[in-house]
Parts: sequence; C-alpha cells; structure tokens
Amino acid sequence: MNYETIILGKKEKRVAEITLNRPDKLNAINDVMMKDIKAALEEVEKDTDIWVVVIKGMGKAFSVGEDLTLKWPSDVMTPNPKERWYLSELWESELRKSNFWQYIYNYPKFTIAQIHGHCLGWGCFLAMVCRTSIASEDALFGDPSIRAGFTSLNPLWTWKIGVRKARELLFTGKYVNGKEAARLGLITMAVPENELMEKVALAAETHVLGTPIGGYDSQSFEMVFMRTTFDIAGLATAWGYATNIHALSAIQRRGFEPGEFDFFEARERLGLKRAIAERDRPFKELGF
Amino acid sequence: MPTFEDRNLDLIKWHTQYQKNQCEEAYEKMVSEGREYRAIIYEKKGRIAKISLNRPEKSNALNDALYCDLLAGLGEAARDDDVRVVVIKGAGRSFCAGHDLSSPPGDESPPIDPKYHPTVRDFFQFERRRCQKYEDIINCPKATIAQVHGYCIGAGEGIQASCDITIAAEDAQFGTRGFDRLTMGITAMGGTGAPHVWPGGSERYRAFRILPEISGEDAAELSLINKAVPADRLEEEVDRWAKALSLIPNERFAIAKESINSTLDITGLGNAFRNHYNIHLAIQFVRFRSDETNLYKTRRDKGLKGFVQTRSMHATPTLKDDSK
Repeated sequence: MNYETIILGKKEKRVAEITLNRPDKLNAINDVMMKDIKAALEEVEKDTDIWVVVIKGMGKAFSVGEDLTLKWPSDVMTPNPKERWYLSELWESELRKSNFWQYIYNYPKFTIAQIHGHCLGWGCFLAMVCRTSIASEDALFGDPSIRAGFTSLNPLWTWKIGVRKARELLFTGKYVNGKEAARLGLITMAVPENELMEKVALAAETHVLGTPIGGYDSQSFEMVFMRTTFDIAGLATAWGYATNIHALSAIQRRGFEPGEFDFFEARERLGLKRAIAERDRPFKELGF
Repeated sequence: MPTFEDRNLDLIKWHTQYQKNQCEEAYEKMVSEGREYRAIIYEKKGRIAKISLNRPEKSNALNDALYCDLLAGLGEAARDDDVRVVVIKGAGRSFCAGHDLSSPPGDESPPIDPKYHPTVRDFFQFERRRCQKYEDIINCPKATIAQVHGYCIGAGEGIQASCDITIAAEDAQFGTRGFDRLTMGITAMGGTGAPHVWPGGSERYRAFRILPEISGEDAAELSLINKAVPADRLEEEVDRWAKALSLIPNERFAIAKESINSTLDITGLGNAFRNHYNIHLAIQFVRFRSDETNLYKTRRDKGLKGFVQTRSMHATPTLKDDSK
C-alpha cells in the first residue's frame, strides 16, 4: 500500500520502519498522516515476519506535533470554541483521537521511536506511546497546548514523569532536551546525535535476537500482560478522563477574557508562524 | 493519680471543645470575607496573591488558627477573579516546621493525645477534616506555588506537596522528624512518595524514602520539587514562575489542573487519604518499648524541647560527612 504522508519500509531482520514524511512541515501531523500511521501499523500488524516497528521522522525533526494550520472539522486541530458544532461531532472526534493513541500504545509488536530535533505536542505523544524511545541528546520535548488554552489529551505524562514534572511541563508549556527527558523518564535513553541510528538499530536487533527465546508469540503475551497490569492500576480510566477533559477544554464557551491570547484569532490576523511566536513570546521573555 | 472521674471529665471537656470547633465554628473559621488574618499575611499584587505563613516565633508551625487562615486566604484567592497565581511562603527563618506540638489539646492539627481516648468515629471524622485541608489546597482552582526556605518539615512538606509547583532554596531542609514517610500518609500521598510523584517503584522513590532529611538541591534532583536556587535568588525565581503561570487565563488553567488532578485520583490519591486515616489511627494504639520515644510521655516529663532533644537522638542518624 502507498501512503501519502509516511513511508513504510520493510527491512530484513524482521524490522519495519515508518518514516513520517512531511519534512517541509517538520512532520506536523494532519488527519491524513493520522490515518496513514494507523493504516501502516495495521498492515504491519498482520505480518508475522515483522517483530519490531521503528517510527522516525524525515528531515530536520521527528515531529512538531499537530498541524496548526488545520480548521474544523479536523480530528487533529482542536476546534475554535467560538465555532458552533454539535456535541456528537466533538465526542466522536475526541474518541477517534483517544483510540488512535491507545491503539499505538497497545500495539502488539515492539515499537521504537527514533527521535531527533523537535518532538512536541502530538509528536511527543507519538514518542510516548511507543514502547521504547531513543532520542538524540539535543532533541526537544514538550507540549505547549496550555499556551493556546488547551489541556493535554495524554494521561501518560503523569504516569511517565510523575506529577511534579508533569505539572511543570504542562502548566508552563516549556521544553526539555533529550538528556533531561531521559532523566525524567519521558523517554528511554538519550544518545549523541551521530550515534542515534546505530543505537536504535542495536535496540531493534537486540529485541529480534531476544524474542526467539520465547518465540514470536511471547511478544503478544508480554504486551497483553503489561497492558492488563497498567489498566488495573487505572490507566484505562485515565485515558477516558483525559479525553473528557480535553473535550471540555475545547468546548467551554466562556470564550476569551480580555487580553487573553486567542490562538484562532491570532492565526487569522498574523498567519501561523507569527501567531506561534506571539503565543510563546511572553513565556520566552520569562525564560520558559 | 487522676481518678476515673477526672479522666472522664477531661474527655467530656475535650469532646465538647472538639464538637464546638468542628460543628459550629469550622465553617466560620474558614470564611474569608472581611476576615482579619492573624496567622498569615495576605498580599495581592496584580494577578499574583502571596500568602505568608506568619508565626515566625514558632517557625510557622501549624496550629488550627494557621490552617484556617491559610485555607481562608486560599479561598479568597480562589474567588478573586483578578488572581491567577497564589504563592505560599513562610515569614521569618523557615517555611514551616510542621505541626505545632505545643498546641492546646482542643486543637486538631497536631496528633491528639491518646489519653483523651477519642472514639474511632471521632478519629475518622477528625482525620477526614485534616486530609480535607490538604485536598482543599490540591483542588484550589488557581495555580499554587510553594516558596520554600529554611525548614520544611512534616506537615510543611504536606503543604508544599499539595501545591502545583515548589521552588526551594538550595539549602532548605526537607524532612520528617522521627516518622517514616510512609506512615505519614499525607506526605506519602501528597508529594513526597508514592507513584503520584515518581513512577512506582522507581529508584528515586526508594532513595527518598530512606533519606531522613534532604536539602532543596537534592529534592530538585529527585523531582520532589521543581527547582532549587541559591537562597538570595529564591524570591526572584518564584516571581518568574508566578508571572509565567499568571499568563494562563483562570478558566483554562482550572481545566488543565483538573486534568492532572483526575489522574492523581485514578492512581489512588483518594484511597491514599483513606489509608492515611487508618494508619494514623493505628499509631494511636502503639505501645512503646522502653528504649523508644513516646511523644506524650516525654513531653509530659521533659517538656516539648526535651522531647525534641530526645527524639533527635533516637531518630536522626549521625551521618559522617566525608567531604570535610
């Protein structure tokens, strides 16, 4: 199958590679890419010759996150609170998103994110839902949603890095580099940029070599076992809550307070690039 | 030797005081409208409100008056549409030295003397109210920042743990004196242990559990707090964070905060509080061995200072400093 926004490559030694391929947009995720990623993973899922899937980005960055140029109706871009849509549309969209992330999180094959450059918002989610994530030390992680007034759709923040750091990152929208991300537990490890490919290949190979001990079937067994344990500890409920609250953050109709940064208005007025600069300016001035 | 009647009279007196505090005055105590704060200083500057715990002569040890003033102050900030960020700090040399163990028996903040024989029902109600105070801080819809310097001990840790962000001086001292952090349910729950702060079972969590006291610098390294800076830069650093958080409109922040707090609940925050009631109650029934420190007995015999001295001999290991 051919994909519009990604490249699905199958290598020897049981490793498949999904490359996000919108380098001119720093691999911003749009609705098509979301569908492509899912379709590619579904294609690989049925292929018992593939045991490991590596996800990486083409060009300068892994992914800068959701494509902010999009307008409603889009699953990726949270709608402008001033637009009037039906509740069913909103909830269906929220559920599609949540199911998308959970699908990757619960993917029955071993997934490795290979991260360089920017890894923000949804890009960061994509790294977080992979089972292993290896990044270059100078990669940038974060979720600046709050600066435009939205909450994170992803409950894994608290699970991975603990409540203190989750609050810090999500309430200020600040970024951390790969080294710090590895220290916090957001990713598995950070390596110098020139060793990145080598380390990912090693991780994939190690997994492939290790798996025959229990056979290919042991993989899915391990996955189901792990997932159940996390669900017992409440992760399934957390996904549900995060979805609901994310919908609430989009739907609250109070609108914008005077002087409040309105991303949708700014995008209209200044264009996307300057709107983002405007969004980040006061935070940057304070060193965040 | 007090007779049974004497003891009983004590109990009745305590019980009456207790009911009166809780049923009649509790609500009134936390009302902030037109309130004259005695134990805190409430200042507002633009979008940032600052609450200073103000019992410097007691190192801001918590008694009922201070708790009520603190919550009333938070209530005032929560209702004030102009305020987006609340900074909680301590006046004088320290942030907070924990529960005021010299409080009168009617007070709820320090552990209740077992000689009053509170019933299990009383005890659960009392624990519930105490935990509610922390939950009130956790659920404050505005951004909360704890500015910690000097000592931050026991319940003081609970307060900073309930805040969204904690910035401390590098030489601040976090700790629980003479209690294991796990049995101090609130500390275990709130910020200083358990999977809520660190992914469960992580080495950082273990490391913290076995350290009796740690500096602000170490606490930041362990992600127990957000940042440690030299003491003279503390105020400036907190202002920077407060300004950043004050950029986020109230409505938006409240939802984002709810999102994180709901994850805490799912991972068992509410249960941790309930667990805390039980553990604390169980502590009341502890029978001390001859070589152990009994707060009530030692305080009776040697006074509070004597107790603190005895406890520090027992509870604080002598750490060798190899660097010197």
